[in-house]
Amino acid sequence: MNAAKKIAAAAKAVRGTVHTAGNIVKDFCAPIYDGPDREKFFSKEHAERIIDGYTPLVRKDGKVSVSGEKAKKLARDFWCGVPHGERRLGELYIGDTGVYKHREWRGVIDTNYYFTVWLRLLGLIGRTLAQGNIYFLKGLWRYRWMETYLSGISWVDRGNEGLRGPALRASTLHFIAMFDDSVRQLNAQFLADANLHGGKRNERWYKTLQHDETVPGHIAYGFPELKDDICVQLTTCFLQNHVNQQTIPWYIDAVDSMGLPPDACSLCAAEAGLCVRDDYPDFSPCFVANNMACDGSVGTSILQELYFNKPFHSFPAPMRHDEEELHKYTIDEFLECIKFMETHLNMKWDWDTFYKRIEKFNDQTRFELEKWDVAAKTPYSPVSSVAQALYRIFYFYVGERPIFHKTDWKVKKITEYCVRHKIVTFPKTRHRALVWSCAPLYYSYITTWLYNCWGINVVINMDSLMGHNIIDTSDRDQCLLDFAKMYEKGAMRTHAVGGYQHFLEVFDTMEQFDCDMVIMFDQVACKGAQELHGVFEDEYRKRGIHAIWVPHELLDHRTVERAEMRKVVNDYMFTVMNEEPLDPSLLEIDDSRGW
Amino acid sequence: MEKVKGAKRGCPVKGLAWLIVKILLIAYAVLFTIFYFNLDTKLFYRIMPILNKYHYDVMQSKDFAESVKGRNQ
Repeated sequence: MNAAKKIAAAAKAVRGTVHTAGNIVKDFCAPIYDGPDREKFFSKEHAERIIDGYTPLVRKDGKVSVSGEKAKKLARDFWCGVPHGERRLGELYIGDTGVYKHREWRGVIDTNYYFTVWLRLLGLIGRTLAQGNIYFLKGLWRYRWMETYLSGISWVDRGNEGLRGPALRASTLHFIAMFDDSVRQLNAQFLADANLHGGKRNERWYKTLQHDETVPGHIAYGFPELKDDICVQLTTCFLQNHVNQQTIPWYIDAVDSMGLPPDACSLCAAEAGLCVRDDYPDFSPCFVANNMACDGSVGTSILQELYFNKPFHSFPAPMRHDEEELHKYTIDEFLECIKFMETHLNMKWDWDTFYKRIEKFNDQTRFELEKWDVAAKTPYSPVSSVAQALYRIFYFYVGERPIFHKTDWKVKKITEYCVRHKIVTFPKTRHRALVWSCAPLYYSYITTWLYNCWGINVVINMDSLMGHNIIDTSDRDQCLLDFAKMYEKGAMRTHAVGGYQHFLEVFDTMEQFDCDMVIMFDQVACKGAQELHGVFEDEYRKRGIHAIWVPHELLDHRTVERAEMRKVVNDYMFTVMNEEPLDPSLLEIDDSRGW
Repeated sequence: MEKVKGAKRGCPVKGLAWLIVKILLIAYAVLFTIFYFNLDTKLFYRIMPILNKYHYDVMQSKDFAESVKGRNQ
């Protein structure tokens, strides 16, 4: 009995400490959110409701109760985390800020694992600063988009919300790889950036290649002397919007104010806006762009050519990528591009180096195909949808890098473990869904919400299925042909161009990945995709497929807010599917002021 | 007597090890508190509007239309 009393007293002390810490946090948070619902999130009732979920260890009459189901549950929830179906993740947010009151408790092991992930992310930034790279800080001071990366860790939190066990490990590894490579890219461009060196062009400036975010890093594989190659819009625009939805509108407004119609694609508008705001770094003697993903991007490239005012080359890809005779055209364009780079970088192209790195990239593609195979045929794939999608598009364009090989090796081990031990990584899956058409960058982790709230497990998405052929390096002609085929099927090219039949491959893909539902993203500013809206609706109805049309405007959250996207899904799930949510607290959350 | 006093102090290696363990435990407690209560995000959430207001919003940049005039002709 004495031991029981001691345990009870210790538990009380721990609870008291947690409440005191909670009050400190509450005071710290107070200035963040001053909205009308503030009290709701810090109220005594709210705290008591959470505490009342568990039987107190010391009852009000002073007697000790250490047995009982609720005490066991308390211990189990502490050790393993609250199971899916009982969680209330929506209550973690502070008002409309999208900021967590505290990070999710995932159980002792998983919380500590995620703690090490957090330390690693901090370490990546710390390592850069410890190396004495003051240009990183100078970049933060010079470029507005750099402030986005202050919210980088929060992006990882949101993307991995609710994940446990192997799914948490595999998905965070993907995020760490993207984080790591983003830091590399930022470092590389700032070290060579003439804007940060008082307008002087240093040695790195002459040995760095700048290319469009839709031109893959493969074009630089043949230059062993090259310091680095950077997709110029990747960190400045594309990734920025994934990490923080609030920073891009400043650029969109800039180009709108110069007369661009506001219904233009917000990705192209934002990229052009960076020119208008004079916010691109200057780190290379030349610039290689292309005509991808669409005509809007061509317009942006013209504007960027004017802005950068440096030797410019376009490496276009034909839209009709099914037609064999057009591959010759792509190969010729590639050879022209090599000549251009040799001239302006003052370097010699080396085919052996090119083949070696292409082989390494082939390894990445092979593992990608394995991942798809596991996702399509089993419920054991440990990679969450958002991690898979972002990582795929990220490494496709950044190209072959050591961090991706390391990540793939680790994820492969986790995947093999899950398959061998038959671990169902997303056990609350009610529907296996396919995401079709281009996804909203400002809410790429909507797929995490879909699973946590409704049990909709997104197995694969359209953009991940871009060029995935293995490039044969044994023969130069064959290598060029394979590379051309892969290049032509870049992001938004495999299915969105080259004939409507590509877009309608959704039905075959559903069969391949054993899906029973489609999340159809409806980019309200994409006129090309909208033309087929009616055809899709007719086909879905005819085939009896559940398709949820989710509107968005790619980069501009002001047109269609995240809450509106969630509402569309909620309405469909309640009225058409007649289902109840797994986590009702996530149904209506206001994150309009969130990152 | 002095020898006995020294013996009470114990092995210096053990003392050092215990000191390292204590430092690590304190570091863990501090970092875990920052992590769990999301203090890093809350801090940046408060810093960013200040950065915008007092730095980025008042930055001077070149006039785009003026700077590209006459180029590429």
